[in-house]
Amino acid sequence: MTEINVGIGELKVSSDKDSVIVTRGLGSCVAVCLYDRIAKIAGMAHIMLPSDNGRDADHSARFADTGVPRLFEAMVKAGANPKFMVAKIAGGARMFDLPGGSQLLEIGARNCKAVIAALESLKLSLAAADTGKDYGRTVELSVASGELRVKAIGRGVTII
Amino acid sequence: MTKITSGLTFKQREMLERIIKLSTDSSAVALSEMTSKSIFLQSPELDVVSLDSIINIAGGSESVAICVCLIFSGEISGNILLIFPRASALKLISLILQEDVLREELDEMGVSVLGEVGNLVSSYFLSTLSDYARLDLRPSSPMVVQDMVGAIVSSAMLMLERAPEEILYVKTELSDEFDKIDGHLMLFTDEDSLGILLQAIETR
Repeated sequence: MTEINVGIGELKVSSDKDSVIVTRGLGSCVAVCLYDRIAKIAGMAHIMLPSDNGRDADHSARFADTGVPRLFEAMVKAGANPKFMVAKIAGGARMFDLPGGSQLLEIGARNCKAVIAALESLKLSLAAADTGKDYGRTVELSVASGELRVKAIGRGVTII
Repeated sequence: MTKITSGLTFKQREMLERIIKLSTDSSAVALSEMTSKSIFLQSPELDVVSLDSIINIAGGSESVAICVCLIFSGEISGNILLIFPRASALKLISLILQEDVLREELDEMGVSVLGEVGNLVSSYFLSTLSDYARLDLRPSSPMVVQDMVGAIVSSAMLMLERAPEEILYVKTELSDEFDKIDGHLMLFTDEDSLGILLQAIETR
């Protein structure tokens, strides 16, 4: 099994059935996974923040509003059919907590909201999500099955 | 945005080293008083790095670490993170509590001890920094988190409204007569504030 590693703010697409697409140590970031179950093409984007606020100069997947459409385009380019595409997301945790709270600590939730909005505007259906809570996650997307394995410290593996 | 791609200037490095020396010395005195034994604190390394490299420096995305994080606000805003590999953090707790047996789990007492150490080291660093830069910086209370390095570090950085590309990194070594414990101190500032901060220190 080959591991295709998605770094922070990156996106990867693969149709190699012997590989998994992996991103490690997600905190408030969100892994957006798209899968064409007929063509068996999988893609993952590691989203860091909700919006690029128009400052987008590169081709990264850092921001939900530009990164999710880029992942979608990369899927289509690789031969995926939007009709058969489903989305799964994981991450968006609230890693830090302060007595009294702070708006700054809600970045995970804002990321999730922005990712869901971006998926909706592409008319992609959200098949599963493992988001929020207060712990980090490592995720592995199987290209062969579209199964998403979510690992967290002391919590074992969840498959969505 | 002021990019510090060429690294720190000679003057900036010199001033930062002085600030760090002052604050680690004060922290060591406070920790020694707290434990009534000699605790030493040194910072042999200092650099401006990217998010990817800082995650690697701290042990890699998936390695388990325990950190203390303080948010600061004022003329510039950001947060400061003191992060230890899990085993080192547990060793540090035993060292501070003067226990012979190493702890296996992070319990409430451990959280409280680490919070105190992190608070001490970070607050001394921030207050010395604000004195030197003549900027007013006010820290929050400490937050202690145990999780994967990638999750901790990226979330600390992205908590800022405008996340920075560059992070000030200080390697820290805490020791008593017998043991040495490695830690990593990281300063995340709102997008362009690291440049402001370094300039303020330089022109002082």
